[in-house]
Formats: sequence, structure tokens, C-alpha cells
Amino acid sequence: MTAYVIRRLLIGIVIIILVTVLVFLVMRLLPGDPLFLFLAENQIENLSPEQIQEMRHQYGLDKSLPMQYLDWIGNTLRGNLGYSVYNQTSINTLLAQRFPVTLELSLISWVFGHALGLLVGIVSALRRGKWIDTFSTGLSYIGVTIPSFWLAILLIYLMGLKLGWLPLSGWTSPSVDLGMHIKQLIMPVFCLSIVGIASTARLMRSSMLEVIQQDYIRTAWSKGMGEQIIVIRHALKNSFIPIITVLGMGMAHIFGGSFIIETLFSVPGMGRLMVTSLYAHDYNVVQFSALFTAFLIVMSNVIVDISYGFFDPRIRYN
Amino acid sequence: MKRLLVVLVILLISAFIVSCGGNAATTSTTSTTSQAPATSSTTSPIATTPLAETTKPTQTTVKPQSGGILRMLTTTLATNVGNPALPMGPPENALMAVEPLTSFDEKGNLVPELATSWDLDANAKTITLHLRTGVKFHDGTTFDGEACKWNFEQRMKSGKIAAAEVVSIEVLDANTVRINLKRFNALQIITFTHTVMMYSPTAIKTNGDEWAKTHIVGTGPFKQTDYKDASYWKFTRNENYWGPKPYLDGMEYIVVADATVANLSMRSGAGDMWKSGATAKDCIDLANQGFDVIQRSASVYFLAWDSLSPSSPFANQKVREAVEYALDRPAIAKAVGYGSYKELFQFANPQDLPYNPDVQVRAYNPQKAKQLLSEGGYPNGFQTKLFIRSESTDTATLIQSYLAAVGIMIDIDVCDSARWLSITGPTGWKDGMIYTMVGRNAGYSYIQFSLGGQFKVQPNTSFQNMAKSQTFVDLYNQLMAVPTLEDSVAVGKKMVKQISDECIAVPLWNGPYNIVVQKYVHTNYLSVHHQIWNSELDWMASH
Repeated sequence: MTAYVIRRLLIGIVIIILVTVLVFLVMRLLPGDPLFLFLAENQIENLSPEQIQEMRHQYGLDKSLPMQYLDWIGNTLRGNLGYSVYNQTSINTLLAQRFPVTLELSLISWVFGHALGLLVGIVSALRRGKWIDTFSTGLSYIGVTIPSFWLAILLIYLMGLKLGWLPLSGWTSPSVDLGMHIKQLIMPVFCLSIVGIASTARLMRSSMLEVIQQDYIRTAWSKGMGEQIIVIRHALKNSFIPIITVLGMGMAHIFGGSFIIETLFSVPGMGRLMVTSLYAHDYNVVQFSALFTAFLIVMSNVIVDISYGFFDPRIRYN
Repeated sequence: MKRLLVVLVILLISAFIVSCGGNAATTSTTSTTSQAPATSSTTSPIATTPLAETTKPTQTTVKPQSGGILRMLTTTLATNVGNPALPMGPPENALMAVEPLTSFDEKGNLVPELATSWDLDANAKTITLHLRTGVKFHDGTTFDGEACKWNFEQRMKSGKIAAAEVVSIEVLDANTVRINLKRFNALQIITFTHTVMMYSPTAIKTNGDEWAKTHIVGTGPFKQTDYKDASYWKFTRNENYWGPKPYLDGMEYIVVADATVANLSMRSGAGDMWKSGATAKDCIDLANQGFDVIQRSASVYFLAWDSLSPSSPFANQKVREAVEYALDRPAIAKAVGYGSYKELFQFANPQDLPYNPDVQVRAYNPQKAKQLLSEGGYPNGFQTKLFIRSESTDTATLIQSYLAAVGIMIDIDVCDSARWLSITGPTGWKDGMIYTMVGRNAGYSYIQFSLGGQFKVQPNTSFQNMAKSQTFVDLYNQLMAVPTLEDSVAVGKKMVKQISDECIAVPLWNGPYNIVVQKYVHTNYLSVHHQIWNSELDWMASH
């Protein structure tokens, strides 16, 4: 098991290194002067060509690309994430402000989405052929195919404008107004979790169906064990293994979806920061956000891979 | 049977979802063929009623009511709201909280604000400012000569004022400041008195630069109570304001990043004013639903070209004039602006100070365009590029089709931000055109920034590929040394005519700044030359 964990961690590190190289190269090789990564537009307008050259030297842009990469990655590893030209503050400060918001939104969406998906999948499998199975299967088809941004606009229109049940957008700190904070969470969480609910439900249903047809489950039924005990003690753990893969991919979907959802609902998180920075030509933030998002996704998948070992003893002993 | 039920349910839900879709046609208005496009009689396929420039009536017609908090929807907040020393300075239209030394009246004349009078001395190269007495900042400290000088110095530090032009700033007494210039230019009065806002030096020195980025402390009719980056910015009435007491209890900027959500927010009553981000389509939609739409003329769109490179077709003036004749500006303006863009035939609106009635109008005439191309040595036309930003794709496609009709074949080159900044700045561009815009400033600042700023002569870093004759260079140098503001108008008029005579660039149309307000809101936001906002006069009727 230890060897398994170490192997997974090493693979994760290699992937992260490859991602850093890719992100760095993309930003440096884009057309345009990379000096705009470090200076605001109005700063460059007032500089003479000699001053611009001096600036390039100051920011290491006259070095070779590999040396620039090593400088950048070295600074990042030392905790110096760079400076945001648009926000005129360090990226460390921005991360401290914005990441907790995205983390809260993402975690709640992830937990809610997969928990509800599991529940729906289990019920559908146990009540196969009944109306509840038919109904939830139909909804899961819609959930998998519906674009989250379109769902967001629809919810804002129905829940916010027509019914007036929920605020249309915005983010209030829980310490300022917990009730409003919860109300403002409902729609973005639902939009981010819809794909997780649908895909987890479908996968759980098929996995559970396969497991409950096994001999040991039949034996448990014939011994007179209750349905609840059979499901929780015997069926759930074995049918959970394929779901673990979806859990890891779900985090990627949620982080990716947060760019649009945070913009639509005006949530001041990392996704919104990335979008704003793109429009504002704040390439340092774009570069860091891409790297950070990739890092989170890779790490969540590494954790998922490692957790296989706990759920499936065959992996552990192999 | 059960399967049929499932299918029926899915179909019903799909039908419901589809029926909730938008109600406006979204047909592109651009042409992608090389056939001659429609003439000026073409109506926009989207606009139901063209928007006209409107001015919201204020308290002159209805008695104002006190009370209420004006909630303004905006797409974004400034990341620096109160530190004038940083390169990305505070927003210049935070006029509810900070004020400049002067303002403009309807005719574009400079009028007192925090300065009551000023003296310009071309011989001594000085500008002397007499400041208003009895004015306090929101933190209770006094606005005086030292505070004024400090603010000028901060703006020099940020690069907003060219420090190289200033010899020194003297505080002659508590309410008199003198600026000593290296070179006298009467337009500098605009730079110092209208573009520099007055912030409390005490507040910033006491609390620090980082604090100042999220706290604005000025002399305005409203003072900040709260600010959260990317979320909201709140103000309450300044009970000690030196001017007329504000009617409103307060103001709030609420960030709504997406235009569709902002549209819905206005309709739900979650906002009183949609201050930024409303497109022409949104305005038409909301106007049809009973909202008031206020338009302020904000930008001049134009075509610039590489007329400096000898190999460029645009080095030939006949070719440049041909482009002007080839474009049906009223038709394109109507199409891309849904009726809210006004075509231009010179680099000034009729209301602008340097507007020159003697400028030759080159109206749409494709035959004349072809004739000029032939005379210019391109009887069969030529191939060239048009550099644009991504938001201008529709407009560029229209321009492409009009030029194709006379034989000028355009490759549209969409530039990302970094490349755009390079080609319009230090690097320049080769052999092509640029579709771009300049902000339309008020009064004399139009001459200073919109003309003087966009048509700098070498050495410069903006649009350096536009060739200018010695005549124009002489006019520009004259502008940079005008002894009085009135003289700048005369020089400005000549510059506008010279830009047209030489075809240095082609002005296309005015783009508006759209504000949508609820019926009960009475505001003069950016009402005078789209730059002035006396927020103390805003009010809301009972609702």
C-alpha cells in the first residue's frame, strides 16, 4: 500500500511539473510583448525604448526561456506568487481573499452533488422499474446534458425574477448575514452540482444493480437480513468503487464550471478573478490561476487514486 | 407505456425550456460576402425603436424628494478606489465622493468646483489656483493648499501628470497654489484642475497606501461606509458637504458581472440604475419594458492606418480618401449601434468646441472611391489587413464588405490584448488599418486628450504609423503652447480640418455610454459632456 501511495504521488508531481511547463510556455509564447505581464498599459506608454529595455532586464525577460521558467517556478515554490498589475497587489493577497470563497462553493457543490447523486442512484437501483426509477433516470439524462450556464440563467429568471424566492446574484459573507449568505448559495451550488448529481446517480444505479445481483447479496436476503443492513453493510461499499473515479473528475468539473457560475452569480471567487484578469490583461494572475486550478485538480485525482486502495483490497494487496 | 410516459415528460420539459427562450431575433447584422451592402435606408433587424439621445429631467420639472439609497448595478469595481499615487489610479468618475478643482458647464467652459478662480500667465509660465475655503474632507481635515499640492504630487508620481513638465508647485498661502511649468500650455489647466481629484492626505498618510486602495476619502457629497472587492461599494450622505445637501440617504454600487443577469436584476427591482455594461440591445429591451434609458456620448470610433511605410497603399492620400468614400457611415452606425451610434464626418461632434463646419464631407460614394483608387495606382484594388479587438468583429465584417465592394480586400486580424497594446503602442503595425476608438472628453479636454492625445507627433508611442505633414506637426506644436484656452479652440478647429484634409485617420461614429434607470430615479449622471455628475442633486421618487 505504501508503495502504491508513493507511486501515485510521484505521478502526480510529474503531472504538475508538466502543467507548470505548459502554462509557462503558453503565456510566454503568446503574441505580444511579455513585458505586459508585469506592467500596466499606462506605465508602458510613458516609457522610452531604453527604459522598456531596462524593464525587460529587471524582470528577467532578456534571459533564455528555461532560465525564466526556473526563476518563475523558484519564486512560486518560495511562496512569491507574483504581482497583479490590475489589482496592484500581490497574488498571495488575492489568493487569500478569493480562494476561500471558491473553496466553500466548490466543496458544498461537490458534497451536495455527489451525496444526492448517490442517494438517487441507490433508490433507483433498489426500486428498479418503479416510477421513481423512471423519473430519476429521466431527470439524470437532463442533468447530464443541460449546460450549467443555461441552467443558471433559467434559475435566475424563475427563482429570482418571476417567483422572487431567491436573490438573483451576489455574495454576502456569512459573518455579515448568514441567512442571505445561504440564500445566495442555493442557485450557484445547484448549478455546479447538477452534473455531479446526474452522473453519480446514473453510475451508482448501474453499479448497485450489478452488486445486488451477486450471490452474497442473495444469500443475505435469504438469511432474512433487512434491506437497510444489506445495502449499507454489503452492497454500498462494493458498488462505490466506480464512483470514486467520478468524484475526482467531479472536482475538475466544478472548478472549471466555477469560472462561468461565479461570473453569472457575481461570486468573488477564483473563477471570477481569472475571468476579470483575462479581460484586464493581468497575465500574471491568469498564469497563476491556471496553474493553481491544475494543481488542485491533479491533487484531487491523486487523492482519489490513493483512496481506491482503501475501498478495494485487491488493489492494496497487489 | 412507462417508456412512453418518460418520453412525453422529457418532451414537455423541453418544450417548456424552449418556450422560456429569448424573444429578440439574434440574426447577425453583418455581411460576409463581397457584394455591395445595403444603403442607408436599411433598418436594423433587431431594433424595434431606435434609441435617441435623451436627458433625464431632474428637479427642474418635479419637486425632488429626500431619502432612499440609490442602488447602482455595475460590471466591476475599481481595484484602487482611493490611492492617487498608484499607476492604476482610482476611478475618475467616483464623483459622489471626490471632486476636482474645476468642472464644466453646458458650453464646455471651465467653472469653479473646489477652486473658485484661476490665473494663467503665459509669460511667467504659471497657473495660480485660488481654492474654496471652508471645505472639509470626509475625515474632518481641511482641504487647503497643502492638500492640493500633495494631490498633484501623487498624480505626478503615478505618471498621470508628466512630472517633466512641472518645475515646482508652491503653496503661496492656505488657499492659493501656484504651478510653475517648464513650457506653458493653457490646456494644462485641464490636467491639473479637472483630471486630478482631491483626496485627504491625512487619511492616506495615517492609514497607509494599502488601506487607501480600499478607502476613498474626499470632499464629495457622499462618503464611503464599506467596500468589498468585486462585490459592493457603499456610501452614506455627507452631512458636512460644502455644497447643496444631497437628497439621497446614500448610494451603493452592486457588482453584477453578467449583462443578462443585470438586465433581469433591473426588472426584478434589485437595482435602481444600471450604470455600466448595458448594451444597445439591453437598452432597447428595457426601454420597451418601461425603463428610462439615458445615453451619454462616450467614444469616437475611427480607422487609423499605416501611412508612414512607403510600401503601404495607405501612404497614398487618394487611397485613404477612397476608403472614406467607400464606407456608408450612417448605415453601418445604425446597424452596429441599433440606432444609438451617430455617424461622424470629422473628428468632432457638432457640440464639441473644435467642431469645424468647413471640413469637407466625404459621404458614401463607391464610384468616387473606385475612381480615387484608380488614380492612386490601384485600379483593381488591393489586399490589406484590418487589426481589431475581438469585440469589434461584427463591425469589422461590415467594413470589410463595404471595402470589398470597391476592390479593397480585407483580412480581419483579431488581436489579443498584448498584441493590440504592442501594435498601437511601441511596436506599431505594418501596412494595414486599425479599427479603434478614443474617449470623447468634455469641453477643452476634448482638444487636449481626444485630439492632442491621439494625434501626437513623433516621438510618440500611440498610433505612430499615422503619417502627419509638417503643417499638422506645426499645428500640434502650436496646441502644445497655446497661451489661452480660447486659442486652443482655434488651433483645435484647424487640427480637425487638417486631419480631414490629409485624411490622417477616418472618423466613423460616436458610441454612447448607456445608463438604464427605473422610472422613479432622477439623476444627472455624466450629464454634462458625459463627464459631470452632481450626485447631490440626484433623487428618487417614492416607489
